[in-house]
Amino acid sequence: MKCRICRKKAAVKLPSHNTAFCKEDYLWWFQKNFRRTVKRFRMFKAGDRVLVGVSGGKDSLALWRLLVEIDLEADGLYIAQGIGHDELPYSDLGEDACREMAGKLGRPLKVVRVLAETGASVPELEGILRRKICSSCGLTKRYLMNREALEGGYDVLATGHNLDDEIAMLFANVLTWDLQRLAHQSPVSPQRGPKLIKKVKPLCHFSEREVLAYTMLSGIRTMREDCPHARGATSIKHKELFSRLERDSPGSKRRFYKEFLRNREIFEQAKPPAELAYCHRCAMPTTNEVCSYCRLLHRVAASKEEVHDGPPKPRKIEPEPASPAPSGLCG
Amino acid sequence: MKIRYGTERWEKDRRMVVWRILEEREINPETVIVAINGEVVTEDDFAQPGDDVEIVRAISGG
Repeated sequence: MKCRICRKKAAVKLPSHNTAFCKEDYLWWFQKNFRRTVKRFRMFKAGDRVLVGVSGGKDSLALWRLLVEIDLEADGLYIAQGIGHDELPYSDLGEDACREMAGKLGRPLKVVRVLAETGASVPELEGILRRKICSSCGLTKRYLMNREALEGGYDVLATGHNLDDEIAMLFANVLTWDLQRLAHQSPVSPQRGPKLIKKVKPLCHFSEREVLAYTMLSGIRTMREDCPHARGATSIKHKELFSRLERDSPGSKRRFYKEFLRNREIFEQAKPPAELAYCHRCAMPTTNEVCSYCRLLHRVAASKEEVHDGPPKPRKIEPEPASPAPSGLCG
Repeated sequence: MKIRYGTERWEKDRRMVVWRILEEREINPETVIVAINGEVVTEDDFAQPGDDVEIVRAISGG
């Protein structure tokens, strides 16, 4: 198989685009399409300061490098969740990969530790909150990323969600016809009020495989280990389902997502964004009196008091609505 | 040739086209990138005896 541009031996075959590229032309194609997505969705303005949520995985590290390459002032934020053990120190491996990339790019990396912020690591939160671990992971990441972007004076928060992440989320929302979430899903979430920062997903049109090829061909060292808590996750099952569809009918994933974006106004009109209030405790945006993160802090503090006071008493815990964890940013 | 896929390891002693290596293990080519001796290749390339074949899984989650 030959490269479509130079006719040399191809390194990457892209059935969804009915084409193939050699190493040099693949990197050129990837960067060109990255710039096109950024421009099309008006993700950044000249002079914007960008905070990139990095996990040490392929998507976020590729994104960080690409943003720096287009001359944006892009700094990294790593949220250490305290996941892993001696044999697979997952969070430590992710942090190492992020630190290495920060050094190569010459950009600062801020590390925020969930244990220091909440009094418990994410695996400990599972026991305290009696919620699935991915739910606590997503909640803490969303809150801390927004807070750090605000406190650091950044204009935009960028995350490494790719096409497969977006498709998996879209499919889950379609399965339940969750109009609120369908209305909310977008490559760009504009700033709402003074405290909910603009969020962008510049890799949303690249498949996981395309991003992986980019990192391998450009020599980016990433953490290849999967989160030990992601085994059997519904999002992975959905991704595998769509990959089978893609193998039999190349371009299916891209069409599904593109047509959604073309029609997503229907959902926005049906379910306009909920009115934002501000948390009575931390003053961050929420739709309730007290935000989910402050409720989490309260529950952690209560669990520590129970330990000091003796054996825990049985108590009824109100079920909280499950929310899909933002993919690709576990740490 | 030595083949790696995540924590799995196996060997083949004959020349093989990459798509056949994937097919034998029921690996969907849409979910992986393959490197032979560190060089990224397409499913139509051949691996020779003595080569180091790495199959890298693209799908991740969390």
